[in-house]
Amino acid sequence: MPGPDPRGPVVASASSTWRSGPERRWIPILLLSAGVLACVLAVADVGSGPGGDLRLAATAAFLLVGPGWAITGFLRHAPAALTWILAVATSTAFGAGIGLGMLQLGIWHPEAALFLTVALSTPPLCRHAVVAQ
Amino acid sequence: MRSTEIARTAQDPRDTGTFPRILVTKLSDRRAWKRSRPWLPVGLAVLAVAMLPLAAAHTDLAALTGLGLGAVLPVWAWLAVLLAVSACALEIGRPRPRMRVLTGLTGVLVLCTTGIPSMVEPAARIPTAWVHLGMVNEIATTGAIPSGVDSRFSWAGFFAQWAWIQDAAGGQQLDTVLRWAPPVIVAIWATGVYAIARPVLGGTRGPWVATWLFCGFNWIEQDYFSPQATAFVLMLATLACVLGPLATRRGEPAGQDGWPLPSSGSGPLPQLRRATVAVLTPPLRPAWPPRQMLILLGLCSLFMLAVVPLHQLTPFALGAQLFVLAVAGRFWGRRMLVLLVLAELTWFVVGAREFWTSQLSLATGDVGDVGGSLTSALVARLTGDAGQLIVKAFRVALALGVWILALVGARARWRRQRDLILPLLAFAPVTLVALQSYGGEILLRVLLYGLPLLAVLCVEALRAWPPRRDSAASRRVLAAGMATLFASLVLIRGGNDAYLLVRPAEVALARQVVAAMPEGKVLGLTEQGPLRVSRLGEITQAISTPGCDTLATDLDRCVAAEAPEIILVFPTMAAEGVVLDGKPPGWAARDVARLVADGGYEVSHQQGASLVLRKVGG
Repeated sequence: MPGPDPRGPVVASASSTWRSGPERRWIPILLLSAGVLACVLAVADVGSGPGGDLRLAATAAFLLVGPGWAITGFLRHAPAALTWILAVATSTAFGAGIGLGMLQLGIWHPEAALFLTVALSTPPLCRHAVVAQ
Repeated sequence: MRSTEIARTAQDPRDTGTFPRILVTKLSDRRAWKRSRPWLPVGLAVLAVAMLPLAAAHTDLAALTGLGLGAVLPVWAWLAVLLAVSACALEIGRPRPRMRVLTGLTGVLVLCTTGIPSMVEPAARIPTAWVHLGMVNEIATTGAIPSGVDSRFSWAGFFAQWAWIQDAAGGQQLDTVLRWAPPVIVAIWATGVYAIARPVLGGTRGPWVATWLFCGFNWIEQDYFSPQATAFVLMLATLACVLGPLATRRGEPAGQDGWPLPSSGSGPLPQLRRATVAVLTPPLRPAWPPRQMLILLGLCSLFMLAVVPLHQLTPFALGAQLFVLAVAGRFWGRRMLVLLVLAELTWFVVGAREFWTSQLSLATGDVGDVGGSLTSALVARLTGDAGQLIVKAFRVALALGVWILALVGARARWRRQRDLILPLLAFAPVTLVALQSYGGEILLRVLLYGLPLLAVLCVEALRAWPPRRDSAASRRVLAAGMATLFASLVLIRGGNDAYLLVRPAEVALARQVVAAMPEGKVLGLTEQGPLRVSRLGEITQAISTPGCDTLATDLDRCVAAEAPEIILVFPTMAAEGVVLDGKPPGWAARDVARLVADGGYEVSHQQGASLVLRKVGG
């Protein structure tokens, strides 16, 4: 029989009893694909037409969810709705912070920032895809 | 359901030992599953989506009146709303609602209601969204925040984020993003509301109903391409954390819930001292693992830091709600509130320096003027023709309705579990009214910030009524109410579309005119239409003469004072004067004719009903 928690009394959280579905595996893969596609199209300098629209969609999809999912994927106890809203909010916070940082420091290099973000997000996203709940 | 089936299969004549009991039970379950017609909600949702292109093809946007989009929508659009609502009602009424199906159906519901204008109109329709796009373009083009152009650049987080996305995507125009932003943003908000409602309400159906009520009551139209829409996402995420995994209560060191009790034998303490002791008593630690808690606390801190440079008002609303929760000891990590206060102060002093050195009166002029704020937010907005007044009466009625229903829910919750925290949270943003009129929009913002909690309280009210809520009749009544609510939402949200409608050709014209200008000033006859869509830092595109809200306010005086090189006239400007300001039809054409007759301006370009007036000799 386990003894009392040495960190003090706890209160049960309703959310600790929820579980997410198999999307935990394929969403990181989709996000990673969007990020890689955005980088490839940026390197190829695709700027207009359907390719340009695809580049905008891939870039926006990755930057609006990807960095956040890389972090919130570690919240194994979080239910799906909480994971999603936290992922979008984290990506928003990250995007606003990086954007403002580049502006305030006078180093406006959006494509380089995209490459760096994809590179930093790749290991945790791969990990979430492999070690899915 | 399952126990009934098992009981029934126990008397099944085939259950003689030849068939294992579990197999018979599974077969019966499958038959019952088929009898419940699981494909019906999905089929209705597919039909609802199929109605949308028909609605777009048969909407006569040229016939818009003061009643707005609702008056010109074809039957296909209303059918789409009805089918989407029916699909949701059928699925939630099933014995075991399917979570993934409900998620998809909620998306369809948002698309068929909030998304109707995006579907039937050719471009984003809120003029402010186009101004925001112009601000994003300016940052993406120059790689710097322009100074002295617009006070909103002092909270440039949103514009910096989208400038990064736009530039990283090769400088694509974001017109499509603007057009589809409302349904996407409401879908994200709905996710946040569900994440809040799930731990607060518990159960399976309640959180979904709260989410739908939030979508149905959200006529406020702050869900366009804007900083406040983005900041609200951060607010919802923070609330989802503090009301979910970080939620806690005060209790005794032994873990017993409730206020700490005095030691045995000691007399009762004075009420004030009890309250002080209770406030200073640390809450119990939530049961999540420490590493997970650390990530959550880090994310909440990140949201509080990020919301400050995103929007002027949202941090104050979030701070008020967190303060209520912190005093009540209802979330773990209440020191984060100090972080929010410090971040707000730091940003205001350092980041928004340009704002407070030049335009501080904008923020402080209304402090304490509650009457003035209410007048500008409510009374001054109740103007327009008969159609406009009907739509605005609907808006007021819906806002009052949600508050009344929420108060009923608050009473039910109080009677059941002596909990007042939700109504207090919903009410906390009302304190903003005392601080700011916010250009007459303060009541809209207050309603929006409280709406997730109000929706949850509305579910409490519905749970308390009717007593026989499982009866088929009460289900039908609730489904009819939901259909009425969402039809009203479509009517209300499209109520201003007579003067909000934007056509891609107008956007192209505005861009073309501004791009061709070497320098000078470009103004619109009024503030409707796609204005300030590019080159905000190089070309003056805002009116600055005192007493001239627009050039049409006092045509001769304002045009003489501003002397713009270009005046843009769009059809929505004329419509605004007719349906909102009570001007006679054709007033804009007469104003243009007067400017031309005076010899000061000439019509340099005409594209349909859109005109470009160029200063003679300019």
